[in-house]
Amino acid sequence: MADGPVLAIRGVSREFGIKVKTRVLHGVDLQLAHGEFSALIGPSGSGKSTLLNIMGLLDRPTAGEVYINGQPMTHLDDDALTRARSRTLGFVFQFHHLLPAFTALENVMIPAWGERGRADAKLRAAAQALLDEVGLHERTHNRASDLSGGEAQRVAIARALCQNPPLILADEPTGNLDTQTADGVFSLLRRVSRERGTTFLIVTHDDRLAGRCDRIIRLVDGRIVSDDRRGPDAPPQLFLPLG
Amino acid sequence: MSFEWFVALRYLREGKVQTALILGAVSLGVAVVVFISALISGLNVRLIAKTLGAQAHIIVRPPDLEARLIIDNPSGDPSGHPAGGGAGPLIAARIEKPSQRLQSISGWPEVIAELARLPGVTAISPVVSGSAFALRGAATKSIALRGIEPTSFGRIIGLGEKMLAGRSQIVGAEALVGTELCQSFGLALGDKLRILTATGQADVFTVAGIFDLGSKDLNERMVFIPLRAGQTLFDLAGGVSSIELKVSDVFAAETIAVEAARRSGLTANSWIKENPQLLIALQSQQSSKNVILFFITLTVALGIASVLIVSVVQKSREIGVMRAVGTTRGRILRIFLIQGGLVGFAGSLLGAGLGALLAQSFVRLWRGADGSPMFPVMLSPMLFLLPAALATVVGLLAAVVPARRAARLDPAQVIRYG
Repeated sequence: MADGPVLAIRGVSREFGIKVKTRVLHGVDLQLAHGEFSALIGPSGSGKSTLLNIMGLLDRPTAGEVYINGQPMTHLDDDALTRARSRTLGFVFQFHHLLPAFTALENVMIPAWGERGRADAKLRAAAQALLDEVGLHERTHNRASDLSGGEAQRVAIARALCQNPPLILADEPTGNLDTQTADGVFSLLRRVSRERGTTFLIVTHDDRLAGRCDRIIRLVDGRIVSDDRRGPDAPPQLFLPLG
Repeated sequence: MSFEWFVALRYLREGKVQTALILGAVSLGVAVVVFISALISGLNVRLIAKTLGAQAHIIVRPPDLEARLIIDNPSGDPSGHPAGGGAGPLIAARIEKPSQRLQSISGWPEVIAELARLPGVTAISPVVSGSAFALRGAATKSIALRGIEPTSFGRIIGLGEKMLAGRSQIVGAEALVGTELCQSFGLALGDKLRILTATGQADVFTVAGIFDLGSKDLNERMVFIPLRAGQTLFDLAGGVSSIELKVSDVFAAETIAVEAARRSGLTANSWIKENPQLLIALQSQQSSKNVILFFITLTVALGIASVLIVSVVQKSREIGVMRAVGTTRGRILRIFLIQGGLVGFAGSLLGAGLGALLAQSFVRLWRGADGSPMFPVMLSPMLFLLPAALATVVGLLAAVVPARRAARLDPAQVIRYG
């Protein structure tokens, strides 16, 4: 594994519109180190989702560069970006976005299956192990549409881990869950990060959840206005004023 | 199984109503194509059989007699001016084509041997034919008299199958007559019939068989006698006036006729030249079939495309997620192309079966007074293979627009906004 940051963005700006330009991000710099468990917070319209899309290689910045494991990404063509997404990034969305017609196991396999084109026994075994890891062994062959919200989000986490990526980007991963289920899902994310050394960046509106992260990055009007790191045992209230 | 096939099949299975709709549309389209094609092919075959059933596909005759210069013209000048260049008397102002008398084909056995070797020729027979009168008692009728070799000529028009009474193998002073002539003259098997040619030759023949060529006119006018008797009556001892051929592919008749004329140095006319209206009728049927086929294909393509576009819109978020987690544009494109091709192929199989069923029912339900089908249909393997291949290709092509649309979806946008 490289010594540098898993992800680095330098001077990233993003404008929308052709005649009337709206600048959403203003020269953002950010680095995420290996194994870091960070929260990205900010009010609605602050540019969190735009920043997440650029870091997730789903969007290209108007200016600036995105590095993953030290490699610049913005010059890559669409297929190369797709491969890079598949191999180095995992996504967890707010509404899990599992494919409803597919079983839990098939959903977990999709990143590797969609990239390689074929699913072999090894991939099936790895996907099964991931489902076991997120505690859904008995749901393996259930269709995604038959799973509860919490179960579906756990399958989505297993899917994000399919290619064992160094970085997982989670957009409001507990935003659609009740408090108890949200706690369970968050604990799972922390455990995965601890056991696998996976870097997490979690976009959230939930200050309580952000307070349980190692680092809180606050974005306002397309600029990072604060970036606070804390030890894993620091009390959450230290970070509450940021919310 | 590859990712694209797996997802395509799963989507088709999941979207039962859409899949059923699209399959229904393709099946009905293909069924109509198969049915119409079977019907039109059947009608064509019947029309050809009816029209060509009583005539040869190619008739080889001696070339028409040409006017010959009978005054010696030593200058060789076709104007007839005498040698020396001076203005001489005009010999002829108009060249008249001579009247065509019955001629024999010289060396006809060799010509038959040569023409029999032409590819596609299935039967060949020498004939001597001309106009004559049939007389019985006080009654007289103008007839077309044909001297034939019963065996070889029988193969050309299937004479054996057209016999209503008696036998087609005639010898000596025997004749075959049509049903209408029999009725007019009150003839029965074994009765005598006197035949008189325009040149005054006459003979008496015994009715050995009564035929039905499927045409009232032919049944009234056509009389067959043995070749030798014909040669005697028409004063063509040992000669024949035409050689008649049957070919395996009736539409190749003109090509074979051209080759026959080239090889024999004689005039060869195919049914295509002699019955241009029939060819036009057949081509018109074919054209109308093609127009129907075109519009059905267009309708099926639009149906497949519209249902797949709806599917892409419905699944845009899922497509976005697949793209986000590492599925390339190419794979997304193929997922929808496979769906188009599969529904085209499966629909064509169902449609071909349905079309065949429809055609068979049609044959069974609509029958004439004699119990024969009113609408003949012809089901050949190509009738199924062609629409199946066409529907699969149309399905693939129809899926191009939705597939491209799916592949171009921006994952970030569709995940966020659907």
